[in-house]
Amino acid sequence: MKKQSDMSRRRFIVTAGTLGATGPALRSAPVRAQGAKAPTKETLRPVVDAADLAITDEQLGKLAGAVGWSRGELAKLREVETGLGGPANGYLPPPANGGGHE
Amino acid sequence: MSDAKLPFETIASLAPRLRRKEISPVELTDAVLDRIAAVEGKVKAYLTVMRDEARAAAKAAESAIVAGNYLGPLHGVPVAVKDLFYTRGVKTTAGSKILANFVPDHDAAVVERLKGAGAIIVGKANTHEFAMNTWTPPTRNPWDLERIPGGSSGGSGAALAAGECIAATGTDTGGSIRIPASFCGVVGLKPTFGRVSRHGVIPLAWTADHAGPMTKSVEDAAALLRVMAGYDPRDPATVDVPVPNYARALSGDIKGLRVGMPTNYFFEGLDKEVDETVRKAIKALEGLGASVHEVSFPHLGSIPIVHACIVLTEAATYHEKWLRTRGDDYAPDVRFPLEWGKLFMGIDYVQAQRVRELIRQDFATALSKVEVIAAPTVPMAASKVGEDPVAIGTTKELVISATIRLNRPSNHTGLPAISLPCGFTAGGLPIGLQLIGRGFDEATVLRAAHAYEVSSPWRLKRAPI
Repeated sequence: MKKQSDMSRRRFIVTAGTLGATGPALRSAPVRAQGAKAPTKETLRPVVDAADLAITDEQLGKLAGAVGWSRGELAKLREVETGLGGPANGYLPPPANGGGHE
Repeated sequence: MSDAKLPFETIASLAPRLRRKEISPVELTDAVLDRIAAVEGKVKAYLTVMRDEARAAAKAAESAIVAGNYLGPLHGVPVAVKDLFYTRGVKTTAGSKILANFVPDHDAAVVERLKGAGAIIVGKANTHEFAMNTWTPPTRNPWDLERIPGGSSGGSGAALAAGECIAATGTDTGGSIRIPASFCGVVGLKPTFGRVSRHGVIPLAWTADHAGPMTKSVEDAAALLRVMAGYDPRDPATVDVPVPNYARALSGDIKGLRVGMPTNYFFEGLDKEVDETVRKAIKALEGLGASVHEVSFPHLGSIPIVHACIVLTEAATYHEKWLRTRGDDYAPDVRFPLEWGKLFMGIDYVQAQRVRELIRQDFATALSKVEVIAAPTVPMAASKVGEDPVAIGTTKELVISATIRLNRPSNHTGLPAISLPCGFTAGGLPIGLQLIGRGFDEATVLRAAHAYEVSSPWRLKRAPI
Protein backbone atom coordinates (compact mmCIF):
# COMPACT_ATOMS: atom_id res chain seq x y z
CA MET A 1 0.00 0.00 0.00
CA LYS A 2 1.23 3.48 -0.87
CA LYS A 3 1.92 6.01 1.82
CA GLN A 4 -0.92 8.43 2.46
CA SER A 5 1.15 11.41 1.38
CA ASP A 6 1.54 9.96 -2.14
CA MET A 7 -2.16 9.38 -2.68
CA SER A 8 -4.62 11.54 -4.51
CA ARG A 9 -7.45 12.90 -2.39
CA ARG A 10 -10.09 10.68 -3.95
CA ARG A 11 -7.87 7.59 -3.87
CA PHE A 12 -7.28 8.25 -0.21
CA ILE A 13 -10.99 8.53 0.53
CA VAL A 14 -11.72 5.35 -1.39
CA THR A 15 -8.93 3.47 0.37
CA ALA A 16 -9.89 4.80 3.77
CA GLY A 17 -13.51 3.90 3.12
CA THR A 18 -12.50 0.36 2.23
CA LEU A 19 -10.65 0.12 5.50
CA GLY A 20 -13.77 1.16 7.40
CA ALA A 21 -12.75 4.67 8.39
CA THR A 22 -15.44 6.85 9.93
CA GLY A 23 -16.93 9.99 8.39
CA PRO A 24 -15.07 12.56 10.51
CA ALA A 25 -11.78 10.84 9.79
CA LEU A 26 -12.51 10.97 6.06
CA ARG A 27 -13.19 14.68 6.17
CA SER A 28 -10.01 15.63 7.98
CA ALA A 29 -7.52 13.09 6.71
CA PRO A 30 -7.37 14.24 3.06
CA VAL A 31 -6.43 17.72 4.16
CA ARG A 32 -3.52 16.32 6.09
CA ALA A 33 -2.61 14.10 3.19
CA GLN A 34 -2.58 16.96 0.73
CA GLY A 35 -0.92 19.32 3.16
CA ALA A 36 1.99 16.93 3.46
CA LYS A 37 2.93 17.59 -0.15
CA ALA A 38 5.20 20.49 -0.89
CA PRO A 39 3.38 23.00 -3.12
CA THR A 40 5.16 22.81 -6.46
CA LYS A 41 4.04 23.61 -10.01
CA GLU A 42 3.42 19.91 -10.39
CA THR A 43 1.28 19.38 -7.29
CA LEU A 44 -0.67 22.62 -7.69
CA ARG A 45 -1.19 22.36 -11.44
CA PRO A 46 -4.97 22.49 -11.96
CA VAL A 47 -5.29 19.11 -13.62
CA VAL A 48 -7.95 16.49 -13.18
CA ASP A 49 -7.40 14.00 -10.42
CA ALA A 50 -6.71 10.76 -12.26
CA ALA A 51 -9.17 8.95 -10.03
CA ASP A 52 -11.94 11.29 -11.22
CA LEU A 53 -11.61 9.83 -14.70
CA ALA A 54 -13.42 6.58 -14.20
CA ILE A 55 -12.02 5.03 -17.36
CA THR A 56 -8.93 2.97 -18.06
CA ASP A 57 -5.73 4.42 -19.49
CA GLU A 58 -6.44 2.48 -22.67
CA GLN A 59 -9.89 4.09 -22.96
CA LEU A 60 -8.39 7.44 -22.09
CA GLY A 61 -5.97 6.98 -24.95
CA LYS A 62 -8.92 7.24 -27.34
CA LEU A 63 -9.39 10.79 -26.12
CA ALA A 64 -5.84 11.78 -26.96
CA GLY A 65 -6.74 13.18 -30.37
CA ALA A 66 -9.61 15.26 -29.01
CA VAL A 67 -7.57 16.50 -26.07
CA GLY A 68 -4.64 17.40 -28.32
CA TRP A 69 -6.98 19.30 -30.65
CA SER A 70 -8.62 21.15 -27.78
CA ARG A 71 -5.22 22.10 -26.27
CA GLY A 72 -4.23 23.78 -29.52
CA GLU A 73 -7.62 25.45 -29.98
CA LEU A 74 -7.80 26.62 -26.36
CA ALA A 75 -4.39 28.23 -26.72
CA LYS A 76 -5.76 30.16 -29.70
CA LEU A 77 -8.97 30.96 -27.82
CA ARG A 78 -7.01 32.59 -25.01
CA GLU A 79 -5.50 34.96 -27.56
CA VAL A 80 -8.86 36.19 -28.85
CA GLU A 81 -9.27 39.86 -27.87
CA THR A 82 -12.36 39.99 -25.69
CA GLY A 83 -11.90 43.44 -24.14
CA LEU A 84 -13.52 43.98 -20.76
CA GLY A 85 -16.48 41.71 -21.39
CA GLY A 86 -17.37 38.60 -19.44
CA PRO A 87 -20.30 36.30 -18.80
CA ALA A 88 -23.44 37.99 -17.51
CA ASN A 89 -25.04 37.34 -14.18
CA GLY A 90 -27.97 35.10 -15.00
CA TYR A 91 -30.32 36.98 -12.69
CA LEU A 92 -33.58 37.98 -14.29
CA PRO A 93 -36.02 40.20 -12.44
CA PRO A 94 -39.40 38.67 -11.64
CA PRO A 95 -42.07 39.26 -14.28
CA ALA A 96 -43.56 42.71 -14.18
CA ASN A 97 -46.44 42.59 -16.63
CA GLY A 98 -46.81 38.93 -17.50
CA GLY A 99 -46.12 38.11 -21.13
CA GLY A 100 -48.97 35.75 -21.86
CA HIS A 101 -50.29 34.64 -25.21
CA GLU A 102 -51.41 37.33 -27.65
CA MET B 1 -59.89 -0.67 -40.03
CA SER B 2 -58.50 2.84 -39.68
CA ASP B 3 -58.04 5.37 -42.48
CA ALA B 4 -54.47 4.76 -43.69
CA LYS B 5 -54.17 8.29 -45.08
CA LEU B 6 -54.77 10.09 -41.78
CA PRO B 7 -51.26 9.56 -40.29
CA PHE B 8 -49.73 11.53 -43.17
CA GLU B 9 -51.89 14.59 -42.65
CA THR B 10 -50.88 17.78 -40.86
CA ILE B 11 -52.26 19.62 -37.85
CA ALA B 12 -53.50 22.29 -40.24
CA SER B 13 -55.50 19.82 -42.33
CA LEU B 14 -56.80 17.77 -39.38
CA ALA B 15 -57.73 20.49 -36.88
CA PRO B 16 -60.73 21.91 -38.78
CA ARG B 17 -62.07 18.39 -39.37
CA LEU B 18 -61.66 17.49 -35.70
CA ARG B 19 -63.38 20.73 -34.69
CA ARG B 20 -66.29 20.05 -37.07
CA LYS B 21 -66.48 16.45 -35.76
CA GLU B 22 -65.88 15.05 -39.25
CA ILE B 23 -63.23 12.80 -37.77
CA SER B 24 -62.83 11.79 -34.16
CA PRO B 25 -59.64 11.87 -32.08
CA VAL B 26 -60.15 8.13 -31.48
CA GLU B 27 -60.26 7.40 -35.22
CA LEU B 28 -57.17 9.53 -35.79
CA THR B 29 -55.24 8.07 -32.87
CA ASP B 30 -56.10 4.52 -33.94
CA ALA B 31 -54.88 5.30 -37.46
CA VAL B 32 -51.56 6.54 -36.08
CA LEU B 33 -51.22 3.55 -33.73
CA ASP B 34 -51.96 1.19 -36.63
CA ARG B 35 -49.28 2.92 -38.71
CA ILE B 36 -46.82 2.56 -35.82
CA ALA B 37 -47.64 -1.15 -35.64
CA ALA B 38 -47.10 -1.48 -39.38
CA VAL B 39 -43.70 0.21 -39.78
CA GLU B 40 -42.10 0.51 -36.34
CA GLY B 41 -40.27 -2.78 -36.78
CA LYS B 42 -38.25 -1.14 -39.55
CA VAL B 43 -38.07 2.48 -38.39
CA LYS B 44 -37.63 1.99 -34.62
CA ALA B 45 -38.60 5.59 -33.92
CA TYR B 46 -40.07 4.97 -30.47
CA LEU B 47 -38.67 3.79 -27.15
CA THR B 48 -42.17 3.56 -25.66
CA VAL B 49 -45.48 3.46 -27.50
CA MET B 50 -48.23 4.69 -25.16
CA ARG B 51 -51.06 2.76 -26.81
CA ASP B 52 -53.42 2.54 -23.81
CA GLU B 53 -52.73 6.06 -22.54
CA ALA B 54 -53.20 7.48 -26.04
CA ARG B 55 -56.50 5.69 -26.57
CA ALA B 56 -57.80 6.88 -23.19
CA ALA B 57 -56.75 10.46 -23.95
CA ALA B 58 -58.33 10.25 -27.40
CA LYS B 59 -61.64 9.10 -25.91
CA ALA B 60 -61.53 12.00 -23.44
CA ALA B 61 -60.78 14.44 -26.29
CA GLU B 62 -63.65 13.02 -28.32
CA SER B 63 -66.07 13.47 -25.42
CA ALA B 64 -64.87 17.03 -24.88
CA ILE B 65 -65.24 17.99 -28.54
CA VAL B 66 -68.67 16.38 -28.79
CA ALA B 67 -69.68 18.34 -25.67
CA GLY B 68 -68.61 21.57 -27.39
CA ASN B 69 -65.37 22.05 -25.48
CA TYR B 70 -62.95 22.27 -28.39
CA LEU B 71 -59.58 23.51 -27.09
CA GLY B 72 -57.82 24.51 -30.30
CA PRO B 73 -55.72 23.13 -33.15
CA LEU B 74 -53.90 20.48 -31.08
CA HIS B 75 -57.08 19.02 -29.58
CA GLY B 76 -57.16 15.34 -30.47
CA VAL B 77 -53.88 15.44 -32.42
CA PRO B 78 -51.39 12.57 -31.84
CA VAL B 79 -47.96 13.91 -30.83
CA ALA B 80 -44.66 12.09 -30.21
CA VAL B 81 -42.55 13.37 -27.31
CA LYS B 82 -38.77 12.98 -27.33
CA ASP B 83 -37.68 10.70 -24.50
CA LEU B 84 -35.76 13.56 -22.90
CA PHE B 85 -39.02 15.16 -21.69
CA TYR B 86 -40.43 13.95 -18.37
CA THR B 87 -43.78 12.20 -18.72
CA ARG B 88 -45.67 11.47 -15.52
CA GLY B 89 -46.05 7.74 -14.95
CA VAL B 90 -44.29 6.85 -18.23
CA LYS B 91 -40.66 5.76 -18.53
CA THR B 92 -38.28 8.57 -19.50
CA THR B 93 -34.93 7.04 -20.32
CA ALA B 94 -33.01 9.63 -22.36
CA GLY B 95 -32.12 6.61 -24.49
CA SER B 96 -29.72 5.42 -21.80
CA LYS B 97 -29.20 2.38 -19.60
CA ILE B 98 -28.56 4.87 -16.79
CA LEU B 99 -32.25 5.84 -16.70
CA ALA B 100 -33.65 2.57 -18.07
CA ASN B 101 -36.24 2.31 -15.30
CA PHE B 102 -36.83 5.97 -14.49
CA VAL B 103 -40.50 6.92 -14.25
CA PRO B 104 -41.04 10.64 -13.48
CA ASP B 105 -43.74 11.71 -11.05
CA HIS B 106 -44.52 14.83 -13.07
CA ASP B 107 -44.67 16.07 -16.64
CA ALA B 108 -42.21 18.42 -18.28
CA ALA B 109 -43.63 21.92 -18.76
CA VAL B 110 -43.93 21.29 -22.51
CA VAL B 111 -45.84 18.05 -21.91
CA GLU B 112 -48.15 19.87 -19.47
CA ARG B 113 -48.84 22.47 -22.14
CA LEU B 114 -49.44 19.88 -24.86
CA LYS B 115 -51.85 17.93 -22.67
CA GLY B 116 -53.54 21.18 -21.64
CA ALA B 117 -54.10 21.95 -25.32
CA GLY B 118 -55.72 18.54 -25.79
CA ALA B 119 -52.86 16.83 -27.66
CA ILE B 120 -52.70 13.02 -27.52
CA ILE B 121 -49.24 11.79 -26.48
CA VAL B 122 -48.72 8.58 -28.50
CA GLY B 123 -45.23 7.70 -27.35
CA LYS B 124 -41.70 8.54 -26.34
CA ALA B 125 -39.53 9.06 -29.40
CA ASN B 126 -35.98 7.76 -29.46
CA THR B 127 -33.09 10.10 -28.71
CA HIS B 128 -29.39 9.60 -29.09
CA GLU B 129 -28.24 8.71 -25.58
CA PHE B 130 -28.60 11.82 -23.40
CA ALA B 131 -28.78 13.87 -26.64
CA MET B 132 -25.00 13.53 -26.91
CA ASN B 133 -24.69 12.56 -30.58
CA THR B 134 -26.48 12.71 -33.89
CA TRP B 135 -27.20 9.27 -35.34
CA THR B 136 -29.79 7.99 -32.80
CA PRO B 137 -29.42 4.20 -32.97
CA PRO B 138 -31.32 2.01 -33.65
CA THR B 139 -33.68 4.42 -35.43
CA ARG B 140 -33.50 4.38 -39.24
CA ASN B 141 -34.27 7.04 -41.82
CA PRO B 142 -37.64 6.39 -43.53
CA TRP B 143 -36.27 7.81 -46.80
CA ASP B 144 -33.62 5.07 -46.87
CA LEU B 145 -33.58 2.50 -44.09
CA GLU B 146 -29.84 2.02 -44.52
CA ARG B 147 -29.25 5.61 -43.41
CA ILE B 148 -29.30 7.48 -40.12
CA PRO B 149 -32.21 9.76 -39.21
CA GLY B 150 -29.88 12.35 -37.67
CA GLY B 151 -30.19 13.35 -34.07
CA SER B 152 -30.36 13.63 -31.31
CA SER B 153 -34.13 13.99 -31.90
CA GLY B 154 -33.87 11.24 -34.54
CA GLY B 155 -36.90 9.34 -33.27
CA SER B 156 -39.08 12.44 -33.66
CA GLY B 157 -37.82 13.12 -37.20
CA ALA B 158 -38.22 9.50 -38.30
CA ALA B 159 -41.68 9.18 -36.72
CA LEU B 160 -42.87 12.27 -38.62
CA ALA B 161 -41.43 11.10 -41.93
CA ALA B 162 -42.91 7.62 -41.53
CA GLY B 163 -46.39 8.84 -40.56
CA GLU B 164 -46.01 7.52 -37.01
CA CYS B 165 -47.25 10.79 -35.49
CA ILE B 166 -48.77 14.08 -36.62
CA ALA B 167 -46.31 16.31 -34.74
CA ALA B 168 -43.41 15.88 -32.34
CA THR B 169 -41.18 17.61 -29.82
CA GLY B 170 -37.41 17.85 -29.94
CA THR B 171 -34.51 19.41 -28.10
CA ASP B 172 -31.54 21.16 -29.65
CA THR B 173 -28.12 21.88 -28.13
CA GLY B 174 -26.04 21.73 -31.31
CA GLY B 175 -28.69 21.11 -33.96
CA SER B 176 -30.62 18.18 -32.50
CA ILE B 177 -33.97 19.46 -33.79
CA ARG B 178 -32.71 20.79 -37.13
CA ILE B 179 -30.37 17.92 -38.11
CA PRO B 180 -33.05 15.18 -38.04
CA ALA B 181 -35.50 17.62 -39.63
CA SER B 182 -33.04 18.06 -42.51
CA PHE B 183 -32.23 14.34 -42.84
CA CYS B 184 -35.86 13.20 -42.56
CA GLY B 185 -37.41 15.88 -44.80
CA VAL B 186 -39.53 17.55 -42.13
CA VAL B 187 -39.65 20.94 -40.37
CA GLY B 188 -37.75 21.61 -37.15
CA LEU B 189 -37.74 24.90 -35.26
CA LYS B 190 -35.25 25.77 -32.55
CA PRO B 191 -36.88 28.76 -30.87
CA THR B 192 -35.08 31.65 -29.20
CA PHE B 193 -33.31 30.71 -25.95
CA GLY B 194 -35.85 31.50 -23.24
CA ARG B 195 -38.93 31.09 -25.45
CA VAL B 196 -39.82 27.52 -24.38
CA SER B 197 -39.45 26.13 -20.86
CA ARG B 198 -36.96 23.30 -20.29
CA HIS B 199 -38.51 22.43 -16.93
CA GLY B 200 -38.60 18.63 -16.82
CA VAL B 201 -36.23 18.20 -19.76
CA ILE B 202 -33.11 16.15 -19.04
CA PRO B 203 -30.26 18.61 -19.65
CA LEU B 204 -27.30 18.34 -21.95
CA ALA B 205 -25.83 21.83 -21.50
CA TRP B 206 -27.92 24.41 -19.67
CA THR B 207 -26.72 27.48 -21.56
CA ALA B 208 -27.28 25.95 -25.00
CA ASP B 209 -30.30 23.64 -24.54
CA HIS B 210 -33.52 24.53 -26.33
CA ALA B 211 -36.85 22.70 -26.72
CA GLY B 212 -38.96 23.14 -29.83
CA PRO B 213 -41.44 21.74 -32.34
CA MET B 214 -40.85 19.22 -35.14
CA THR B 215 -43.63 18.97 -37.69
CA LYS B 216 -44.57 18.15 -41.28
CA SER B 217 -45.12 21.77 -42.28
CA VAL B 218 -44.18 25.30 -41.27
CA GLU B 219 -47.81 26.06 -40.47
CA ASP B 220 -47.80 23.15 -38.02
CA ALA B 221 -44.58 24.40 -36.43
CA ALA B 222 -46.32 27.72 -35.81
CA ALA B 223 -49.26 25.96 -34.18
CA LEU B 224 -47.07 23.76 -31.98
CA LEU B 225 -44.73 26.58 -30.92
CA ARG B 226 -47.72 28.68 -29.91
CA VAL B 227 -48.65 25.98 -27.38
CA MET B 228 -45.11 25.09 -26.26
CA ALA B 229 -43.92 28.67 -25.72
CA GLY B 230 -44.31 30.89 -22.69
CA TYR B 231 -42.76 32.13 -19.49
CA ASP B 232 -42.23 29.52 -16.78
CA PRO B 233 -40.73 30.47 -13.42
CA ARG B 234 -39.53 26.85 -13.07
CA ASP B 235 -37.05 27.46 -15.91
CA PRO B 236 -35.17 30.63 -14.93
CA ALA B 237 -33.97 31.03 -18.53
CA THR B 238 -37.47 31.65 -19.88
CA VAL B 239 -38.28 35.27 -20.61
CA ASP B 240 -41.57 36.93 -19.81
CA VAL B 241 -42.41 38.31 -23.23
CA PRO B 242 -45.69 37.93 -25.13
CA VAL B 243 -46.17 34.80 -27.27
CA PRO B 244 -47.51 35.95 -30.64
CA ASN B 245 -50.21 34.13 -32.54
CA TYR B 246 -47.70 32.82 -35.07
CA ALA B 247 -50.37 31.60 -37.49
CA ARG B 248 -51.23 35.25 -38.20
CA ALA B 249 -47.65 35.84 -39.42
CA LEU B 250 -48.01 33.24 -42.19
CA SER B 251 -49.18 35.65 -44.85
CA GLY B 252 -47.20 34.10 -47.68
CA ASP B 253 -45.89 37.57 -48.44
CA ILE B 254 -42.15 38.23 -48.09
CA LYS B 255 -41.89 41.17 -50.47
CA GLY B 256 -39.17 43.45 -49.16
CA LEU B 257 -37.84 40.90 -46.64
CA ARG B 258 -34.07 41.26 -46.29
CA VAL B 259 -32.29 37.89 -46.38
CA GLY B 260 -28.65 37.51 -45.35
CA MET B 261 -26.33 35.38 -47.49
CA PRO B 262 -23.26 34.39 -45.44
CA THR B 263 -19.93 35.05 -47.13
CA ASN B 264 -18.00 32.87 -44.68
CA TYR B 265 -18.45 29.67 -42.64
CA PHE B 266 -21.95 28.53 -43.68
CA PHE B 267 -21.16 27.71 -47.31
CA GLU B 268 -17.74 26.16 -46.69
CA GLY B 269 -17.11 22.40 -46.94
CA LEU B 270 -20.49 21.51 -48.40
CA ASP B 271 -21.54 18.55 -50.50
CA LYS B 272 -22.05 19.87 -54.05
CA GLU B 273 -25.73 18.90 -54.24
CA VAL B 274 -26.44 20.59 -50.89
CA ASP B 275 -24.62 23.74 -51.96
CA GLU B 276 -26.49 24.00 -55.26
CA THR B 277 -29.88 23.15 -53.78
CA VAL B 278 -29.66 25.69 -50.95
CA ARG B 279 -28.46 28.42 -53.31
CA LYS B 280 -31.48 27.66 -55.53
CA ALA B 281 -33.75 27.99 -52.51
CA ILE B 282 -32.27 31.40 -51.69
CA LYS B 283 -32.86 32.42 -55.32
CA ALA B 284 -36.44 31.28 -54.86
CA LEU B 285 -36.79 33.57 -51.82
CA GLU B 286 -35.55 36.37 -54.04
CA GLY B 287 -38.13 35.37 -56.62
CA LEU B 288 -40.81 35.78 -53.97
CA GLY B 289 -39.81 39.39 -53.42
CA ALA B 290 -37.05 39.16 -50.81
CA SER B 291 -33.75 40.96 -51.30
CA VAL B 292 -30.49 39.14 -50.63
CA HIS B 293 -27.55 40.84 -48.87
CA GLU B 294 -24.10 39.55 -47.96
CA VAL B 295 -23.35 39.09 -44.25
CA SER B 296 -20.23 37.84 -42.49
CA PHE B 297 -19.28 36.45 -39.09
CA PRO B 298 -15.67 37.28 -38.18
CA HIS B 299 -15.52 35.21 -34.99
CA LEU B 300 -17.12 31.95 -36.17
CA GLY B 301 -13.69 30.36 -36.62
CA SER B 302 -13.70 29.92 -32.84
CA ILE B 303 -17.10 28.22 -32.66
CA PRO B 304 -15.81 24.59 -32.70
CA ILE B 305 -13.78 25.01 -29.51
CA VAL B 306 -16.30 27.38 -27.92
CA HIS B 307 -19.00 24.77 -28.46
CA ALA B 308 -16.87 21.84 -27.29
CA CYS B 309 -15.64 23.63 -24.17
CA ILE B 310 -19.04 24.98 -23.08
CA VAL B 311 -21.24 22.02 -23.96
CA LEU B 312 -18.88 19.28 -22.78
CA THR B 313 -18.00 21.05 -19.53
CA GLU B 314 -21.66 21.61 -18.67
CA ALA B 315 -22.58 18.06 -19.73
CA ALA B 316 -19.74 16.57 -17.68
CA THR B 317 -20.99 18.52 -14.67
CA TYR B 318 -24.46 16.99 -14.96
CA HIS B 319 -23.09 13.47 -15.56
CA GLU B 320 -20.15 13.57 -13.12
CA LYS B 321 -21.61 11.25 -10.50
CA TRP B 322 -22.85 8.65 -13.00
CA LEU B 323 -19.51 8.72 -14.81
CA ARG B 324 -17.81 7.77 -11.57
CA THR B 325 -20.30 5.14 -10.52
CA ARG B 326 -21.80 3.78 -13.76
CA GLY B 327 -19.34 4.66 -16.48
CA ASP B 328 -19.70 1.33 -18.25
CA ASP B 329 -23.44 1.93 -18.70
CA TYR B 330 -22.77 4.69 -21.24
CA ALA B 331 -22.13 3.94 -24.90
CA PRO B 332 -18.48 4.78 -25.73
CA ASP B 333 -19.44 7.60 -28.13
CA VAL B 334 -21.24 9.30 -25.24
CA ARG B 335 -18.90 8.44 -22.37
CA PHE B 336 -15.67 9.62 -23.92
CA PRO B 337 -16.82 13.16 -24.81
CA LEU B 338 -18.22 13.44 -21.28
CA GLU B 339 -14.85 12.44 -19.84
CA TRP B 340 -13.25 14.95 -22.20
CA GLY B 341 -15.53 17.57 -20.65
CA LYS B 342 -13.77 17.10 -17.32
CA LEU B 343 -10.45 18.19 -18.78
CA PHE B 344 -11.27 21.83 -19.52
CA MET B 345 -10.08 24.36 -16.97
CA GLY B 346 -12.26 27.04 -15.44
CA ILE B 347 -10.49 29.86 -17.26
CA ASP B 348 -11.05 28.09 -20.57
CA TYR B 349 -14.78 27.78 -19.91
CA VAL B 350 -15.04 31.47 -19.04
CA GLN B 351 -12.94 32.52 -22.03
CA ALA B 352 -15.22 30.41 -24.23
CA GLN B 353 -18.18 32.34 -22.80
CA ARG B 354 -16.42 35.64 -23.56
CA VAL B 355 -15.74 34.63 -27.17
CA ARG B 356 -19.33 33.40 -27.40
CA GLU B 357 -20.35 37.00 -26.73
CA LEU B 358 -18.24 38.16 -29.68
CA ILE B 359 -20.04 35.61 -31.87
CA ARG B 360 -23.36 36.95 -30.59
CA GLN B 361 -22.24 40.44 -31.58
CA ASP B 362 -21.35 39.19 -35.09
CA PHE B 363 -24.91 37.93 -35.50
CA ALA B 364 -26.39 41.09 -33.97
CA THR B 365 -24.49 43.14 -36.54
CA ALA B 366 -25.63 40.92 -39.41
CA LEU B 367 -29.23 40.95 -38.17
CA SER B 368 -29.23 44.73 -37.94
CA LYS B 369 -28.97 44.69 -41.75
CA VAL B 370 -31.19 41.72 -42.58
CA GLU B 371 -34.19 40.03 -40.98
CA VAL B 372 -33.21 36.42 -41.60
CA ILE B 373 -29.99 34.62 -42.52
CA ALA B 374 -30.23 31.73 -45.00
CA ALA B 375 -27.87 28.74 -44.93
CA PRO B 376 -27.81 24.98 -45.31
CA THR B 377 -28.84 23.02 -42.20
CA VAL B 378 -26.29 20.22 -42.64
CA PRO B 379 -23.39 20.08 -45.15
CA MET B 380 -24.57 16.74 -46.55
CA ALA B 381 -27.63 14.49 -46.78
CA ALA B 382 -28.15 11.57 -44.36
CA SER B 383 -25.15 9.28 -44.17
CA LYS B 384 -25.21 5.49 -44.09
CA VAL B 385 -25.50 3.72 -40.76
CA GLY B 386 -21.97 3.06 -39.50
CA GLU B 387 -20.32 5.36 -42.06
CA ASP B 388 -18.10 7.54 -39.87
CA PRO B 389 -16.20 9.60 -40.89
CA VAL B 390 -18.35 10.57 -43.83
CA ALA B 391 -17.08 11.83 -47.19
CA ILE B 392 -18.15 15.38 -48.06
CA GLY B 393 -16.76 16.26 -51.45
CA THR B 394 -13.08 15.38 -51.34
CA THR B 395 -12.72 15.53 -47.55
CA LYS B 396 -13.79 13.26 -44.72
CA GLU B 397 -15.35 14.50 -41.51
CA LEU B 398 -16.75 12.84 -38.40
CA VAL B 399 -20.56 12.64 -38.53
CA ILE B 400 -20.91 14.52 -35.23
CA SER B 401 -18.64 17.31 -36.42
CA ALA B 402 -20.28 17.63 -39.84
CA THR B 403 -23.86 17.51 -38.62
CA ILE B 404 -23.56 20.12 -35.87
CA ARG B 405 -21.22 22.42 -37.83
CA LEU B 406 -23.83 24.78 -39.30
CA ASN B 407 -26.27 24.46 -36.41
CA ARG B 408 -24.24 25.16 -33.27
CA PRO B 409 -23.86 28.94 -33.83
CA SER B 410 -27.55 29.45 -33.08
CA ASN B 411 -27.29 27.42 -29.88
CA HIS B 412 -24.69 29.85 -28.59
CA THR B 413 -26.33 33.02 -29.86
CA GLY B 414 -29.74 31.76 -28.74
CA LEU B 415 -31.28 33.01 -31.99
CA PRO B 416 -34.28 31.19 -33.51
CA ALA B 417 -33.49 28.89 -36.44
CA ILE B 418 -35.71 26.68 -38.56
CA SER B 419 -34.90 23.84 -40.96
CA LEU B 420 -37.31 23.01 -43.77
CA PRO B 421 -37.02 20.80 -46.86
CA CYS B 422 -35.66 22.59 -49.93
CA GLY B 423 -34.98 19.71 -52.31
CA PHE B 424 -33.57 16.22 -52.68
CA THR B 425 -30.33 14.65 -53.77
CA ALA B 426 -30.23 12.61 -56.97
CA GLY B 427 -30.46 9.59 -54.68
CA GLY B 428 -33.74 10.82 -53.20
CA LEU B 429 -32.52 12.09 -49.83
CA PRO B 430 -33.93 15.30 -48.33
CA ILE B 431 -31.88 18.51 -48.06
CA GLY B 432 -32.62 21.20 -45.49
CA LEU B 433 -32.67 24.99 -45.76
CA GLN B 434 -31.92 26.81 -42.51
CA LEU B 435 -33.29 30.27 -41.73
CA ILE B 436 -31.93 32.10 -38.67
CA GLY B 437 -33.75 35.13 -37.28
CA ARG B 438 -33.64 37.83 -34.65
CA GLY B 439 -34.16 37.02 -30.99
CA PHE B 440 -37.83 36.35 -30.13
CA ASP B 441 -38.79 37.02 -33.75
CA GLU B 442 -39.83 33.48 -34.63
CA ALA B 443 -42.77 35.09 -36.44
CA THR B 444 -40.54 36.43 -39.22
CA VAL B 445 -38.59 33.16 -39.46
CA LEU B 446 -41.89 31.28 -39.80
CA ARG B 447 -43.24 33.81 -42.33
CA ALA B 448 -40.18 33.41 -44.56
CA ALA B 449 -40.14 29.63 -44.23
CA HIS B 450 -43.87 29.37 -44.92
CA ALA B 451 -43.65 31.58 -48.02
CA TYR B 452 -40.89 29.35 -49.40
CA GLU B 453 -42.69 26.15 -48.44
CA VAL B 454 -45.99 26.98 -50.13
CA SER B 455 -44.16 27.99 -53.30
CA SER B 456 -42.19 24.73 -53.48
CA PRO B 457 -43.32 21.13 -54.00
CA TRP B 458 -41.01 19.47 -51.50
CA ARG B 459 -43.33 18.81 -48.58
CA LEU B 460 -45.74 16.94 -50.81
CA LYS B 461 -43.15 14.16 -51.26
CA ARG B 462 -43.54 11.24 -48.93
CA ALA B 463 -40.86 8.85 -47.66
CA PRO B 464 -41.03 5.55 -49.57
CA ILE B 465 -41.75 3.34 -46.58
